[in-house]
Amino acid sequence: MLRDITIGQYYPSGSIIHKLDPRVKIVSTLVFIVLLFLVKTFIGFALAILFLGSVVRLSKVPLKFILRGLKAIMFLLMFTVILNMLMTKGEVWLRLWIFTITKQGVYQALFIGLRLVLLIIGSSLMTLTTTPIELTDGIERLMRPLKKLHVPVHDIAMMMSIALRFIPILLEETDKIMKAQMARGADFESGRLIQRAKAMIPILVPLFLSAFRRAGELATAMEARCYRGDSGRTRMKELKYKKRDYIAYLVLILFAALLIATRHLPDIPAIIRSLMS
Amino acid sequence: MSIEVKNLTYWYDAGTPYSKKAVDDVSFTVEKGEFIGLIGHTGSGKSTLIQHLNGLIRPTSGTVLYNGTDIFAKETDLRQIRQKVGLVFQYPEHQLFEMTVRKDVEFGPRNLHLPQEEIDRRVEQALHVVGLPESVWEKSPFELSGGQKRRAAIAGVLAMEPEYLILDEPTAGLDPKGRDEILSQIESLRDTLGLAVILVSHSMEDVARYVDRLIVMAEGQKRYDDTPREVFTHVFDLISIGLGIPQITELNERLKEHGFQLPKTILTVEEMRDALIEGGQIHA
Repeated sequence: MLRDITIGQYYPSGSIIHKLDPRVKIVSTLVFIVLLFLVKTFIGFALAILFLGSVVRLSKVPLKFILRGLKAIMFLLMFTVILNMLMTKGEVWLRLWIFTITKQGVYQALFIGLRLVLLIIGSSLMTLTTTPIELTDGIERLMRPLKKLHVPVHDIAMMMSIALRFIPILLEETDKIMKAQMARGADFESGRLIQRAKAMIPILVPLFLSAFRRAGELATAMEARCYRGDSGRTRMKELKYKKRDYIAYLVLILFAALLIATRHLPDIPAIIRSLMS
Repeated sequence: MSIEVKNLTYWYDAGTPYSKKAVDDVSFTVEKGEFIGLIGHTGSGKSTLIQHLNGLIRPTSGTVLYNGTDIFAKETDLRQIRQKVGLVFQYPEHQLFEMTVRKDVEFGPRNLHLPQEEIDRRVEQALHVVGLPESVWEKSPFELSGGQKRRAAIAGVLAMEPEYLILDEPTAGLDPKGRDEILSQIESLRDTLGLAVILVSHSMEDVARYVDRLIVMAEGQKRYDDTPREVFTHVFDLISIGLGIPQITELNERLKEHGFQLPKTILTVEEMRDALIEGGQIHA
């Protein structure tokens, strides 16, 4: 049950996308998300799908694996799409009992749905192709200018990478504790809300204890290796832009320019309409 | 009265790129009153296998029969099975959560909805069996020493009054004294209550000393299922799957290489002593 969570998972395939500098991937993902909200036409979406599709292809991560991440938000997605379809006012297409479906509503729902799907795939592609360590390294480098403002950039990045690392560990721990309590006859599935909440105590107490224990052990282990934060710390792998990273940035700029250009193009329905008249 | 494991196979993460066969077509039967050792290298599938015996994991294929009924059938009440087949996980002290030792041990029987007198009886008996003095019963389990915590956790399972007791490395991380105490208490449980015990262990010495039957797992499969004496004759194969033989048995093997022949495979120091006193024969 806990194994379905794919957010933050890494899928090793050694592709060109995996080898890109993490900063390129972080910046691209952010730019891609912003661009998605600027798209207003079918052509624009076609372009975004084409772009993301090619990146997925290049990443060599199986499509099935990427789509698995969508399963978790299926409900939210459906809810948003249906709500948008029913609540948007405009030219009426269909009337069913108390529901009216408008042309604008269908468009709106379609666009929102597409936007969400592309957004999720885009951002999960980043975590699927970048190890948590690379990711935090990238974030640390990108935030470096903030150091001048006395923002503890290194510490934030270190906390992030530890938090990310602990997610699978604590999930596994939860699974183990649940099983151990089930072996003592615990029942997590039946009963009313309050009983169910109470049934969580035998899981939560040991889980918190183990989280604190692990945190303490980790702190000791870090100190034993002379960790003292950022001061004087060097890296084994310095982030350095290579040719492929510049090419990736170039592709991104091109894509952004094209996408913004589509905003000023007439949309397909408009073209068809002008042809018909 | 038995637990019967039939052609059990289990895949982790079936259908993903990480899928891995953890248990591969394993069959065996546990009769009441048996003392079985289960050994295998880390990742050989022991821990996954034992979690099937009380229905915590559903097999990918194959099944487990408890007294002839399929425990994974729809009609079976798994909670009843879990009461009869007690499972003590590795580092069981990590599941303690209550305010006092007594309350923590009560957790199991309380889940069985027993009357209070019965709960009290079982809790007190379980605490006596694991050898926890009454002075600590009302203490917080987190105040106890490591060995005492482990006992309290084992008492939590014993208070369910299972007929089968499975222990996953009950002595891991304990000092030699704590280890011997826990193992001899488990042995006496088997003798006095007629429990069947399955002991998962890394220690060849422990299994050689206590168990009547030894199941060896390697790469998810059952490699051997025999008396320890028989299993430990396969020295080279055991070493090749990342296990070993008890040190005293190895000493015997070395002596053999030098032509000093003792009558049989030696499992414990005491056996070696007796064999030496009886007199080994020298084959030049």
